[in-house]
Amino acid sequence: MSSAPAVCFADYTVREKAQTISRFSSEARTFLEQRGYVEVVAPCIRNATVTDPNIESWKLCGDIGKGAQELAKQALTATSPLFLHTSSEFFQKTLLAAGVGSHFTLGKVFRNEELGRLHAREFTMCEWYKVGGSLSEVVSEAAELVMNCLSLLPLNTCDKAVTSISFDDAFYEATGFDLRIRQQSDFEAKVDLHRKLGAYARKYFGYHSSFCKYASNEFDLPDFLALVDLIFSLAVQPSLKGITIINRFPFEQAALAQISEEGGYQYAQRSEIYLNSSAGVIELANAYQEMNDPDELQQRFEQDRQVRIANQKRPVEIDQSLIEAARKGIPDCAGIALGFDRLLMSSLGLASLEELDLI
Amino acid sequence: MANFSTNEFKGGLKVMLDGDPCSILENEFVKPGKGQAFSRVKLRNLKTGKVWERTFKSGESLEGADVMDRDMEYLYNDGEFFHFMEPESFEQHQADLNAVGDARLWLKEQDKVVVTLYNGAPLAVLPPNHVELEITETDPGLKGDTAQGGTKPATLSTGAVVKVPLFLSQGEVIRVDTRTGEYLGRAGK
Repeated sequence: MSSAPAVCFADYTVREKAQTISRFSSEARTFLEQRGYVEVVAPCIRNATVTDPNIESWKLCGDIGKGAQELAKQALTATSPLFLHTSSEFFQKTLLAAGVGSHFTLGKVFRNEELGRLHAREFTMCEWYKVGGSLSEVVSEAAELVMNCLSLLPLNTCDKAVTSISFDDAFYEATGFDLRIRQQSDFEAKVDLHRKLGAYARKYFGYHSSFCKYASNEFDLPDFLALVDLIFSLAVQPSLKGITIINRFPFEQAALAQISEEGGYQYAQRSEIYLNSSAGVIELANAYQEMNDPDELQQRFEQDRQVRIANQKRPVEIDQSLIEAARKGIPDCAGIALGFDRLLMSSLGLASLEELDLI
Repeated sequence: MANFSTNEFKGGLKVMLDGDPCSILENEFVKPGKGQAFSRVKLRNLKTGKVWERTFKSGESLEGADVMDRDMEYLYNDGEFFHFMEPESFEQHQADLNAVGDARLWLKEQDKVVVTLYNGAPLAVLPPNHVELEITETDPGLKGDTAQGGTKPATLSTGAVVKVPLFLSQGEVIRVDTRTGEYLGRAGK
């Protein structure tokens, strides 16, 4: 009598696990190559890192052991620190400026101070840029790749229906709060919205903040945006079904996306893909209609630096490579970064990233 | 006491929250890709036993609580206070009913217990997982009835009431699991 085949990833042998994961990487590569993207490999070690106020990098320290080359030691002095990249975005945009055209990476990226069931210090990111492409095109491609991966093996029960909704509408549907009020001229209404978001976060999530300013009569933008992040993560995100594309992010969270305006309201041409999975509703991908104006980039990075200082985060020097690339001319493009390990985790019916470990 | 930042929060860490000492049970990291990171924390209020759920911004900190667990021997109850002794220093501590709580049902003189001290005073008492106590009152035993599944209530020397098999009688000593209040067997077997 032969034993029943293993139907759960945890029961796979290490070889079967490796083969399974390899199948998903092949699926992604074939999918993107068929659509005209060429694969490139990004260097993981960089001379500068992102100024994003909410992303911390791993900085390489000088203690690199006896076998290290003298050259490497010199590169690790205080004046020229080295970092592990947090995404291959800057490198890829440099390639775009050099004329590589539509391309993708599938490789490891590194994040400091992020650890949990859905966060790891290093993870696999699949990131692609479509020259002359639109945000909705790359998002549709990503949603299709997500569907394909979910269908590869019968190990998950994810609903694969795709829906799209704007950030503000999703927020309103789940909580009843209209975030557009913050863009109106009525100051009292803004203060009132801020206060209500604070009270909501306190009531439902025990939000405890010693420097929370919502109770006072001021509209503090960073505090307001933190409340938006919190309520989105804990109230809006869990309510999303199947594969949901969230469009039109708050313009204050544009990061490297273009900012547009409609009906007097600004929004970022930024979208994210969420998946209702065995690990809960998780964020899978983040996409921009890329903003490639060098002066605007410089201004945004400078602003990030100020936010980092205000929030007592480690100061970061601006990575000039992207600005130089933008001066040279990055073609109009849309780009998307897909958390590949999270997609794998969901496709295999797992609830945490560490369950993907081979051993 | 030292302050602890959210990235140091882990199960068992004792911190002060809203004026009460708490023990952290769980800490879940929440972070939108490009957004502010948070810690969703479950804490047990060590005074009331209630579990609180709180959300902190990453990087916020709480003051540590001067709370420590000590192995002690239970001495006696004087009617108002329960007395405990640290076996090495012979230092004695008295705890009121509030601090002892339900543990009083399992305290036998000379048993080893864990006393949680807060600012040096007993805050809670954890009895051993298994205790041996005498049955002081129960219906008469049914001789030979060892195979049936039936049970009856029995009052123990501490006042605890547990369900025991029908064949047990008053005066017998039994083993009880203090976490569930379940009968485990006759003592000494």
